[in-house]
Amino acid sequence: MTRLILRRLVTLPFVLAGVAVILFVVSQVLPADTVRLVAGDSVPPAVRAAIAHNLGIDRPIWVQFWLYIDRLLHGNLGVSIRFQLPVNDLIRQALPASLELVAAATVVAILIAFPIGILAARYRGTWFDVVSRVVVVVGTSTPAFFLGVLTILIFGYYLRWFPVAGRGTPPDLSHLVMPACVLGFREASSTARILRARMIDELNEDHAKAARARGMSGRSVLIQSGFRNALLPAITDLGVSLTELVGSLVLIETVFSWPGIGNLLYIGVQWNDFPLVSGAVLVLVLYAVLVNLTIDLLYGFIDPRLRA
Amino acid sequence: MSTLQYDSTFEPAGERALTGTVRRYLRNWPGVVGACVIVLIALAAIIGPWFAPDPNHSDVLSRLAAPSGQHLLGTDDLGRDILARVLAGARVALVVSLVSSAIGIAFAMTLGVAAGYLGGIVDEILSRIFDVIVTFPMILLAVLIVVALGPSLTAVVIAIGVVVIPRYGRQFRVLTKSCVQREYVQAAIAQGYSPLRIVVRHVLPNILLPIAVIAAGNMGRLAVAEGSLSYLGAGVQAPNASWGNMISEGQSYLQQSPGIAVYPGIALCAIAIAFAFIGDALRDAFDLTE
Amino acid sequence: MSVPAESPAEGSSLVVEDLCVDYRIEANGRVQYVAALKHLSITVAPGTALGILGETGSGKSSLALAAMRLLPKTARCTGNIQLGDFDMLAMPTKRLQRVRGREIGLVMQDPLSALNPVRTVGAQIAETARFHDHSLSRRRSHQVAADMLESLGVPRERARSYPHQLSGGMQQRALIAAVMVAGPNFLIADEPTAALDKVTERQIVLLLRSLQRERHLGLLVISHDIGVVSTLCQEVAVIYRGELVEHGATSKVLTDPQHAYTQGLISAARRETDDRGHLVSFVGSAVEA
Repeated sequence: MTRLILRRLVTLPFVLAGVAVILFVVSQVLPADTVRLVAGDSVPPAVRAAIAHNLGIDRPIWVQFWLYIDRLLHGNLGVSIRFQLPVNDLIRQALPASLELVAAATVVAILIAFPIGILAARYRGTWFDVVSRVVVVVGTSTPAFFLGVLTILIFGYYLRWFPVAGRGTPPDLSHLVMPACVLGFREASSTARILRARMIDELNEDHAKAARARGMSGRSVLIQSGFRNALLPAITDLGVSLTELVGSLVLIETVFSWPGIGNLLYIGVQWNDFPLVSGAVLVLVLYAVLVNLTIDLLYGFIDPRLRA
Repeated sequence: MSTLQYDSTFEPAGERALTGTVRRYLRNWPGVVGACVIVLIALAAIIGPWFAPDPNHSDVLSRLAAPSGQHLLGTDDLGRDILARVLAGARVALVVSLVSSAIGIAFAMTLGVAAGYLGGIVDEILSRIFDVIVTFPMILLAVLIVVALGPSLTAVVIAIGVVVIPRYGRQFRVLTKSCVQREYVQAAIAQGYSPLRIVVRHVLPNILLPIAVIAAGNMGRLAVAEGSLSYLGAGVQAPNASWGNMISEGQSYLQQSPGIAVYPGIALCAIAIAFAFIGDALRDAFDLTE
Repeated sequence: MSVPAESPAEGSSLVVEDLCVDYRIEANGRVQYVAALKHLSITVAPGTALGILGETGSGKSSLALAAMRLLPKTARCTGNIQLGDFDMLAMPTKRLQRVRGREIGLVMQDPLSALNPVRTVGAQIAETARFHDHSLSRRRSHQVAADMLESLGVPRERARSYPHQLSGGMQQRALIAAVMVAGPNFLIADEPTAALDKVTERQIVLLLRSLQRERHLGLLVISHDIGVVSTLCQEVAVIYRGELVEHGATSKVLTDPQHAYTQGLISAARRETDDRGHLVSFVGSAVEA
């Protein structure tokens, strides 16, 4: 077990290093004029020269990379062109909003996905199953941002149930409902589908048959032999869908003007503010990597077969 | 934006009876419907410029107009014909999906087959590179690249192409490895044929088919990726039309004229769902899934 | 409710009449029905043991599943199966759930796959105990489970083990414990030793035999192994390709087989005879002469 943790932790620095390399390549190797990218257009030549020196533009690649890593390790993500503030501070301000949305969306996802997944496995082949499969296909194929826009149109403007943008002053829940539901719905779709598939597999296993042979009721077998066993691998599959979640998070925050890190990314794109964009991307990627790591470790704890 | 689907349970294909495959495909009605939808949209996009008004032409006198004989889907906030813009957006979406698929697959094929065939240190390095790039959620890397290069159609194509390479690359690698283990390839190696000849004559024909099927199924997701990028502003720039930026602009006028945002959205959904059906139908038709 | 060893209950009888089991197969786009069992009729008298002998694919497992009504949905089943007074094939599902486990138990072939891998064996046995006796508290049910395990030769502490942590023999004992804790008076053992090594196989066979004798269980033993059947059963039926080809007292069938298939089976097992040509596999075989 500890071997598993160690193995995972050992790959972590490599992954982070890789992420840093990619970011470096995209920010300093790829663009034609890195200084302009980082500092914007309206910058006096003296400042440009200073920035160029800091980035090490005229020096060999590995020196540049080293300077880059050094900055990163000191938590220096650059200065936003649009806001003229350290990107660090902007991100720190936006972080709670994003976390709140992700947490709410996960709750929504579980509330929707678990019952539907279980019922779809139970009523496999019936109309319920078919309908829910169609809903899942639609749910995962529809672009996240369009789903958000439609939700605003229907529930915000036509029905007037919820405010259409922003976060309100927390803990104001009415602003949270729509974005959390849209984000949660997408996660729920893939989770429900995975849960159903896993449960059907487990219910076909011998131990489920043996449980029925001992006289256990259908419901008990469904939960004890089906759901409990399916939950573990379903959780790892969730880890995979969490990488998708980050992409959807950015879009949903943009659609609903939810002041989180995804929204910062959007603002960065709108204003051609590269430091802001790359800072936000870095944080979001870190989040995705850490979540995946956590899920792996969690799975190692939960599955008794891996504990030996 | 959803991840690409790529099943590593595919076996490299052998000889397939084409007629049986076509017949099997035709029996899958969602696949047929999907194919028709794509063909229709593609045709409309191609012949659109002959029939529809200029998508960028502003008719300032009739802004936010309702659908009429002159403007079948109405006009947007700058008086531009919505239908024309939707068709223009279709062109963008299809071009991006096709070209970035092509670029991505070309590079992925070279790298992936090399990794799978050569093994050893080359394989190790390439696999590590693939793994690291894949840790980036697709949208994030694509946005980063587009902004670094300056938003434009070309930048989008490059960005999506790059993002796609490691994902297809891994698939190529896996398929190549399992193909190389087959006896006829081992025999060819024993005969002393050059690696290039073996790859081209024995490996490629067997792995291109599964890849083509996966690629077809993924086209929808690439179109959605383009839409997401341009929604965020990291894509085709105004005043040019793309479904993403139409939806973004249209969001401000949702109350007065929902059509501006809704029509392109429906079109994007149609393409996404159609390709999803096509992908499934192709997999069943070629009998590639377990 | 766990049945103490001194229960005076008479075993039920199992009567199978004209049982036919087909499986639905889709090949090349066409639907076919493949027969697994054809017109099978056997009777197990109360408290006695009947062996079903046949090789893999002969359809014998279908008999076990049919009797418990656990055949997959792709199977079609006609005929009559009576457990004592219970009509197994026609009974409504709710009643069937009460009969399963409490009246008739099934010991399956591979204990590792028949036990839930993510739960401790104690928890699984306790859950079965609680299911059949609602008055049992959680704590009491775990005690009952530990008692049951102990009576079958598994140390009490192993109740907290997961199936994969137990040896093959202990897994099978745990599975038997889970089945017996519900207190059935008829037991179907489907290849109970196929997954075990020879030494453990002998232990389990002796365990089953003593269980059957102490509790007067009706026993249906399904196996391809002549030694197992000859140790446990007074009567044996031979199934070949889904059909009953020979039936009679074990001693008679094994020493004087009538059907060519039975002869083949026995000669294949000849390696295990002693110098007097007697089938030797276990101490105290039911076949004496």
